Amino acid sequence: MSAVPPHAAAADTGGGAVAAAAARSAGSVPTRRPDVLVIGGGPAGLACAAELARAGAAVELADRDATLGGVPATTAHRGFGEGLRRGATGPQHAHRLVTEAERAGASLRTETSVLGWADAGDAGDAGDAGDGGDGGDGAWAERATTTVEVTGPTGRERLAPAAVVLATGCRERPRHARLIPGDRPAGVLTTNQVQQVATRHPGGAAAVGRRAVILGAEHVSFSAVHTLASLGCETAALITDLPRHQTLAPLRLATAGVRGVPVRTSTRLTGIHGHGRVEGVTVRPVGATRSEEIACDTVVVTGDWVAEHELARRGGLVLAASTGAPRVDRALRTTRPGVFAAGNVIHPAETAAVAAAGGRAAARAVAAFLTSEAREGADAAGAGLATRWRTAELPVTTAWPLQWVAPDALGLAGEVPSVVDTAVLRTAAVVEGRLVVSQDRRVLWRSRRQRLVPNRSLRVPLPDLEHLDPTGGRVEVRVSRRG
Amino acid sequence: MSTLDSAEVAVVGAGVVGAAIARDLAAHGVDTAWLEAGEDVGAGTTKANTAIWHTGFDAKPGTLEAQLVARGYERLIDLAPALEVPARADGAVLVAWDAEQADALEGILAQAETNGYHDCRRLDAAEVYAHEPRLGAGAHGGVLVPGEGLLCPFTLPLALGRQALAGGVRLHLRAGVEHATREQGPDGRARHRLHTSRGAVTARYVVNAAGLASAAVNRLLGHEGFTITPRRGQLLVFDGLARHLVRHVILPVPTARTKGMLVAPTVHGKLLVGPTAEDLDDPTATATTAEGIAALTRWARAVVPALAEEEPIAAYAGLRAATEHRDYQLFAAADEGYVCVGGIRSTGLSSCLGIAEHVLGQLAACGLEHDAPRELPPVRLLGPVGASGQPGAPPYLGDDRPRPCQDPAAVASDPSYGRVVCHCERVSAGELHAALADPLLPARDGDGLRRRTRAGQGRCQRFHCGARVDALLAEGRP
Repeated sequence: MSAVPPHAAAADTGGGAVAAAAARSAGSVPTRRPDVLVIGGGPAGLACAAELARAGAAVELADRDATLGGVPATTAHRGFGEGLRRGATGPQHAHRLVTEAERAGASLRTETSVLGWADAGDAGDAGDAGDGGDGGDGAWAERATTTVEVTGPTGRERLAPAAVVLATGCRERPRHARLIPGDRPAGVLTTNQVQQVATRHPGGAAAVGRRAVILGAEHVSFSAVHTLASLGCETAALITDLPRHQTLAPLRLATAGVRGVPVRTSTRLTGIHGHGRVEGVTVRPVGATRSEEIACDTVVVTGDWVAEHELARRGGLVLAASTGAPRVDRALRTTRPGVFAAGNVIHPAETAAVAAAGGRAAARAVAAFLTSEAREGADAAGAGLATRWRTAELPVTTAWPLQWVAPDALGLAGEVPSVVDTAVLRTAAVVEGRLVVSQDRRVLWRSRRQRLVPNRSLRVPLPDLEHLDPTGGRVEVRVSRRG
Repeated sequence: MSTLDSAEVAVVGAGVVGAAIARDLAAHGVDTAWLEAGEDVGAGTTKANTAIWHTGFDAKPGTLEAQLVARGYERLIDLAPALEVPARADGAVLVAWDAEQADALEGILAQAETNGYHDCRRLDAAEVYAHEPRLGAGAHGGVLVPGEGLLCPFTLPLALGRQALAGGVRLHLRAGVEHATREQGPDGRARHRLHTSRGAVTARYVVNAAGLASAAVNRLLGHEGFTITPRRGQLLVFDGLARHLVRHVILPVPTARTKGMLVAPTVHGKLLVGPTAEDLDDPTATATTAEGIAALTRWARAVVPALAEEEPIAAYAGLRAATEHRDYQLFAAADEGYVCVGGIRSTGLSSCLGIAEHVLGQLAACGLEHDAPRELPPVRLLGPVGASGQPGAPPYLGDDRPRPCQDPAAVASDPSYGRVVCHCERVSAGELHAALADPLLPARDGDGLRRRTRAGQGRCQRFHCGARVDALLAEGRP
């Protein structure tokens, strides 16, 4: 069909390829070269930028939002902070982290969107790079740089830092990703949207109705009960297909408990109904054949966190299947040379304090990397690093019912120090037993017997490399129900 | 009851077909009132289309549908770029998944020839995989349809509608026709009086392009001949990060009843799977079902196994205006000045401009006098500013051009294009303001804003931008 206009077949919405093409056609996108670019201004990114600036690095932090602080900046309830200062509200905590990073001398930029990677060749077609891009793919890795395309109200530019820290955080898994059928009325929200209405965008209040059903019964789900109440919306029920709620008893009591909101355990949300606006949902107890209706005008789909991984994926990083989180080793190195990751993008979702601690840990690894021999032979934008950047080594795996573990590789001893000695993980099912870390059949560590609950933070120590058999198999974390 | 409007021609229905007819009437200088029961242009059955730009290679030979799809395709080749409607002829691969289906391929090739489409080519199994390396195992062969393509089902009706309005057509929203009468006009000639919830509209000629309501409107005007059985099609959309898995529209071998489920890229850089085909009685049953989503998921994974690892970002259902007949219900009652455009199924997106041309001919046969076609004022979209910037217009939505936030010239011209609000779809504050302030067809609600800009249509499903977009809408609503 030669008569058809030859539109370009771009395999990329908005990522590197089209953006780079636009930049080329315009011809004049300036490039700057800070030591480190931290992407994401939540707790992990802010703490990382503060620590790096203190260590003397020229560090720039880019956040796409107009306000720094990440999710805590929109979370009005108390309980944020580290150590003795745990009584702060989210915005107070965010403010502290911002002040710390500013005082340390980090350059903090808001409304700055990183659009994609500016690899030689076609950075935009990250999907294909990702398929074979296990970090050992020489042809791809040689092209992979740390250069990114950036936009914001002050204009387009290109940043070519020596190292990138991905601190892009996580988000709640939305309704359609959970395959919940039914109508598509207004009033189906996530917790974060409700929180933003409460703290930042009161003009969006029409989305929140008078009576909500909450899908999920983890920490954030109970937090949603509280935030909804502050907006004049009562909660009809929390729905979880798990056999129990997954939060701490005091939080449940302070939110749903005092308001008499039922938690419907072992129950599935089977449909959302309403034309124009939500009119109700259908729920069905697990194993039952009959559904029942609950009238409501709002549905809040909460938790079940997934990594905000677009940049990781466009960069061809190896990702964990269940959360989409980039694989990192004990130095918080991803599988892309020069690129580190920290915070809830690698463990969706831990508390702000854990995310910040991860950001600080990443800063130590990045600082060591900046002065290491690993940078020798690499050009200013990071190309040529690949041969010395081997993070896919010694993966850590999990076995059912464990869902994921982070870090999920140990990496090799080398120029960049190990900065993480504990891994966080999650279970998919409620189970009694011990957490066991082993290599092949050799047990390296075993926890006390405990009840493991989904959506709650679990931890295991990561084995030191000297305790491992270098020729042995992978390290596995599993649950032992015996003994 | 008060008179809302008085025109030479009244077009009932502001789906893509009504929009194309209104646009052509404007191009011929005809005094036109355009009525829509809903809140916006293109907000009914049009928006839930599979978004395929059909060549008509597989239409039933000899039908009006076959003729008008081919003609509509041809007219869009010139008009899509002029109207800045994302349209791409990337081609389709029709795949036979067993020996029996492979036997049907020769018949499909012959049917394309009969329909006047001569570019189809038979593919053996190896060629199928060469065209689509990510396809699941088991393909026995296929047919390449080079001209089959993709269209933006949101922009097309809006662009046609904006050009119609720029050409003088008067649009009346929330004006569903409740009943119709005949009367004598002041010049002594008979005319229609359409009673709507917002007042009466008088017109010498009426065009019924009411989609799912076309049979009901047909009866209001005193005609019989067809009924609409809504046929529900459920669709699943995968995120743009999965877009690279497929290069062409992947079609199955059709059955007697349905064209079957396809896997196709979209002009917005997503991947679409569907539609199912379920005959229903309820014309409001646009819900997805657990069974439907399960069938779509199964099909997606069978055709492209790598989709098992990808998350859907949307599931929706549309209703096709199926009738008991195998062809469009397009006829004129010349002595009454009435043209019925009923039973336009999912091919309407491709055939709308063919239908419009045909309807103009029918109206002329009814006695409508009109000017020779004139050039309508161009209705350019926002950005890239260097090429075509016009303030107060919604953005171009195709993934073959950068969004304004990616375009250095656009950001330099107005910093609000660099202020990204919807990060997943890269929609800037500038674009949202422009879509709300469009002097011709402004967005009036969240759904309208989404169709004009794609804000909130990405993978996070408004987790990040929902509250801010709603607040902008509340401020910016006229």
